[in-house]
Amino acid sequence: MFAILITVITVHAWRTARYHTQEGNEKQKLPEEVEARHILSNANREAVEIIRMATEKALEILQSAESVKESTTSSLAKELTAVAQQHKQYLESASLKYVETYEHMAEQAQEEYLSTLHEASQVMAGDAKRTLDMFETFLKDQTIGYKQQMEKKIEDLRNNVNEQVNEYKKEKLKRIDKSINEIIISVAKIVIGHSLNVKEHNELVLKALEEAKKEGFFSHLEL
Amino acid sequence: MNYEPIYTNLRTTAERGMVFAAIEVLIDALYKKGGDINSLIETEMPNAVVRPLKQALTQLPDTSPKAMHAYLEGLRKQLAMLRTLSLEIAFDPTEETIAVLTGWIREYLGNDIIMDLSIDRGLFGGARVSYEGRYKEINLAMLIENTIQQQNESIHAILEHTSV
Repeated sequence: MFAILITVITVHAWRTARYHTQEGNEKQKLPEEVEARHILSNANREAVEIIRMATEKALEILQSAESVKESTTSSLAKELTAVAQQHKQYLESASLKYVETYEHMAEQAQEEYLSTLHEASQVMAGDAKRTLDMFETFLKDQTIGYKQQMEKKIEDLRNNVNEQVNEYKKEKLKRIDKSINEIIISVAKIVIGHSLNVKEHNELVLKALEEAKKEGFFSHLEL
Repeated sequence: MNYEPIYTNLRTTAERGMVFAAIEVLIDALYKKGGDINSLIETEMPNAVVRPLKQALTQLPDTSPKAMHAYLEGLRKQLAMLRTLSLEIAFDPTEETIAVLTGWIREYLGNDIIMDLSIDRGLFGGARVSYEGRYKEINLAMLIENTIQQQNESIHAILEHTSV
């Protein structure tokens, strides 16, 4: 605003000076110096007047502006205070709501978590029980199967061992029989051989010759 | 010439060996002064041959050393031709054994067979007979084995009975 005022004054001074220049040209009869002084004096006076008026006007404007400023500042402060108060209340309210909501949500989440945990533990317990039951059943079946297999294996083993023992007994009995026969024969040979007298020996030799003769051993010699 | 009265009395290859040796002695003695043939026959020849040999020599038409030599050579050849029956027996044969066996051979097989006797005590009794590649064995051991084999079942029954 002050700049506008200066501009107006400057323009007015320039117009005044130009007027007087034009007027001087018309009055070329006046001495130039007096006329110049006169013009400058007029211009100076007018300029002072204008400046004074402008200053007054500016003061008025400044006063008015100050007044507006104070009013505006006061009003703005009030408004800002009100707005701040509103915001504060809003924030307090929102904060309280947020805290409440958070607490509510936390409680809900905790309840849901506990509920889920409870359900999960129950499910896990159920699963564990079922698994345990299945394992128990499986273990029983396996135990029974294993027991039956072991019994069969033991039975097979027993049969096999009995068979081997019987075979061994038969073989041993055969060997014993053979040994006994050999012993009997050996003893008989020795006892009978030693107990024979010459006459009995002669008879045995003759018996051998007779047997040979019967079998045709001497067929080409016989008389 | 007939040598049968002499070799008929020969019974074993051992006696034949003695006769072979005695013939050598007799032939040597024929050409020596003062050689008493009869006396040598009695001392050198087996008893069974002494008598028939003396008789055969006295019955020769020519009793010269040469003729007697020829007779003895003939006897040696004849004895070498005798057939041999090999008998393995389990005991030392006695005179009785040799006589009994010779009697059986003369009765059933002929006069020109002599025995080659040997001993195998493992036979325990009986004999192993072989002649010209043929072989027959009948001994006490076999008889006992056969008897025991035949009686095997009854022996086993006795053994089982006694073992229980």
